[in-house]
Amino acid sequence: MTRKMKYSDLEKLFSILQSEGKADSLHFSDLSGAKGDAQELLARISQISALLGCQTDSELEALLSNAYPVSETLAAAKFNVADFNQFKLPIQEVVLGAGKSEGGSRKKTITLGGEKTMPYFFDAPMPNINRVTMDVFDMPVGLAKSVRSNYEDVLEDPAAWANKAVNEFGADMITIHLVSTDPAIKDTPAKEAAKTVEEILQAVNVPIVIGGSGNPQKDPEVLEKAAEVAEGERVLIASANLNMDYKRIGEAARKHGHVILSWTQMDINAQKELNRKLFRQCGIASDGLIMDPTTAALGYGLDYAYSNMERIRMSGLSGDAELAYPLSSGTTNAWGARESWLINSPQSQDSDWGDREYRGPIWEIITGMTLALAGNDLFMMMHPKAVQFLKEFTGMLGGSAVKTDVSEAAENKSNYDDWLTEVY
Amino acid sequence: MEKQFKQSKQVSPLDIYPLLPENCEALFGTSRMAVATQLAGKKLKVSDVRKIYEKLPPEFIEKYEKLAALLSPRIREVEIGTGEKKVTIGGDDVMFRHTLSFYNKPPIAVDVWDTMSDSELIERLDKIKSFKKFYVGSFLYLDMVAVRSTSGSPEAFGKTVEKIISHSDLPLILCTKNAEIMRAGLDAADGKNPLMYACDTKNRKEMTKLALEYDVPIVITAAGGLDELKMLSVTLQKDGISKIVLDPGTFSYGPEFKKTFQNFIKLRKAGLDGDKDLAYPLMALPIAARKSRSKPASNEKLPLEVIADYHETIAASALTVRYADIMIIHGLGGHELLPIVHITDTIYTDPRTPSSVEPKMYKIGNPDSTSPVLFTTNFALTYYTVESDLESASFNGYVLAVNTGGLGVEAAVAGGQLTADVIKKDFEEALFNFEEQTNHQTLVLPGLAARLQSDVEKSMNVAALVGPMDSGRLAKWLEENWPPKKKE
Repeated sequence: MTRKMKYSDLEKLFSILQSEGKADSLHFSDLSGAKGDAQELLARISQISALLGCQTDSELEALLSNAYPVSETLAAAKFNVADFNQFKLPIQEVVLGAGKSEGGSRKKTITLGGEKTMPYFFDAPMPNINRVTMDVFDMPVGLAKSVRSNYEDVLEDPAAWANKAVNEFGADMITIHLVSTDPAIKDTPAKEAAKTVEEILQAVNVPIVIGGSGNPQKDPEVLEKAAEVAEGERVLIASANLNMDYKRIGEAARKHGHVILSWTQMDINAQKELNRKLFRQCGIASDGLIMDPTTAALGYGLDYAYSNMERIRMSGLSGDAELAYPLSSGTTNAWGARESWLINSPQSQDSDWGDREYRGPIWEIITGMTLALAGNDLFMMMHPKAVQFLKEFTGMLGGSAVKTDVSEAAENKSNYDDWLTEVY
Repeated sequence: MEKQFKQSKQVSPLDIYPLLPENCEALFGTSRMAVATQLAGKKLKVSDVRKIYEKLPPEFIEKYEKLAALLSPRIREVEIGTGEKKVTIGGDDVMFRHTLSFYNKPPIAVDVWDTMSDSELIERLDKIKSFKKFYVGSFLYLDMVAVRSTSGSPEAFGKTVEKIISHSDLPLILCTKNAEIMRAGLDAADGKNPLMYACDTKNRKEMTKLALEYDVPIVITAAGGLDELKMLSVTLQKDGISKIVLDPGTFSYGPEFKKTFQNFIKLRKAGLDGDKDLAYPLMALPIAARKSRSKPASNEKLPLEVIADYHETIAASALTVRYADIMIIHGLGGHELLPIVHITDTIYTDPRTPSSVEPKMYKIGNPDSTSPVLFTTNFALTYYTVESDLESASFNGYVLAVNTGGLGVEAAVAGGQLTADVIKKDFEEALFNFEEQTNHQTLVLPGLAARLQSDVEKSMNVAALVGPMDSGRLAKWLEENWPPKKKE
């Protein structure tokens, strides 16, 4: 390993080659400033010496340094790329919430959709930024510890919970989940649940989402009543599904001026079918529908959720009018992944999973971020930190004003190479 | 509708068919058309058939070359490292994974630097080498080591590279813009086929010579923009370099993050559209994201280090979705590594892989009539997670994979695909009779299906116990709850 390849070795080698008639057309003196065959020979020698583990002496090195001629100047070239010309149909814009002039009492309304290309692509701007609606439940429910610790003081009071989410955690919207109406939980009557909805509408002035318990028998009645008491507020009714009386829910949404959430389970054809039924059978207007094609957590089927959503968005943009609607994600499902809340891995061979206090929020962020890149517009979320980071980064990609120190960003640019030499 | 997105080269089996030998049945064990279809869908790699062609008459050499050219991916493949741990990057043909699949999962390199003490270096290398995360029957790993020159000394850099090589066989990225330091690294890593980072407009000549002399792959970096990147690529190719990786710069905070993200999209689209100078793998540097450590917001409770980890993780994830083929990161916390190894796996899993297992009764270990009977759904991820949790707990018992059309427990309960009737029907179809095959007539429900408890008891005439929310806790749960207490 330590033997050096010397200039004199080269001389010897050369004379052997010549004596064997293999370097007839060459003279050893040609090698300085080598060209053509001589250059090739030098390259070979250098490779051979490297293969043998030999270093080269300085004289030989000087020769070798001329063995690889490189262009004196940079070649001229211009970068060019074509737009994605297959996208023809903009996504429908849908407004959530209604102010006084439209018969509601919201101080803020939110517009979703309107995209003309895939999320944050270079060929068209993002017209409306992504939005986050934070979950509120009408009774205390089981929550991961790191989520729960943020809501300890408001678990029993949905109105206070909603208030906290908006004022402390920056929620754009609130989702009130009427879980207590499930016959297997508390069987709260629809009428009573509707009172909770009224309380939420009183407590916050942002647009709201009204969710049922997920019980397909009870939800139509519960959501119908809720739609009635929220008349004029243009809430999002969550949700209509093919496995339930979607017609009753869809009609209630239309009748009281709300938007319907069309929820299917990772099946683009089912999504088309349900959308079509809601439009044709319930008379939903084209600006009155948002789709939830189902969210699976990172590591638990996000690959399917991602591609299903990306296919839906691309089909819409490419001209399939039945799929050209804003998308919503139950990003909270990220907390179903054990990686988000277990203290340790149940697998003995796994490396240390680290602190779950930090692992949970990033699981929700990455699940949401990935779907943002597939085309998702509205995120239903839980952890305040996850909400903050998701809004911050989708805001940057969407190009909206973000809370960022511009001078700091500019400084980053000039010092791009710092990562190479910095000791962390 | 989606056809138009297959603008990237999609080879038809009919183009391949004439290049195949007639006696495919004998050579491949399947029909000529089936071989053509498998090659077109990349289920069979062209390199896999090479050996067979080598045994054929000489005219097939030309046919093989035509086949290889036809099937070579638009984005070139570049190999880094040697031996078992060697990585191949690039090789993609599409903008959107659902139109085919993405190939060659981006390797994750973690940095070390040459001013670390020996013990620090070894400790960090051990962490990188030994990291593993169980996932669906196998493990996710870290793939590479990136060495940075923080000393500025060629000697220190070379020594550090030597130490790394004697301690790990992971492929290397040598990170310095100084040619003299790079040479020291290359000498120390001779024969290991490391990736050079990086050649820019300032050091181009020296770095080009080194890449040629050592015959190793090289990263071109151009924070100055895509024109500059293309100029460098054209020049290096002209000088005889073909193993190229492109780094358009990773700025991961503020408006620059948007530009970075769009640069990756532009480069990949240009490459797939036919710009050969840019049809190379792309490198993302989430590690540079750590520089963007913003001041914490007023309600910030996270330590700055964790914010840096989050920024790095978000940049890594977004750029994995949009076309990064190789990445360098710094953070080694579970909250960073777990999401990153999962997101690369998520995006690079072949979307054509079926998402469900056969709905049937699975026996784990050697169950008898006293063993617990459980069910889950036939969603592959759900089933394999439950199965591996039970196996690692040395469990004996029965697990029915109920046919929910491939949905997980929570979604299927919510959507009505998992009901007491469905569960009853699938137990009947699996010919499982609680009266005859158990002495306990008890069924354990997944915690996420708790709301089905009374329905199941009524319709199946068994005792239904609600198990834990996560199968990782089943072992402990069974310890406390099994055998079931007899009802009074």
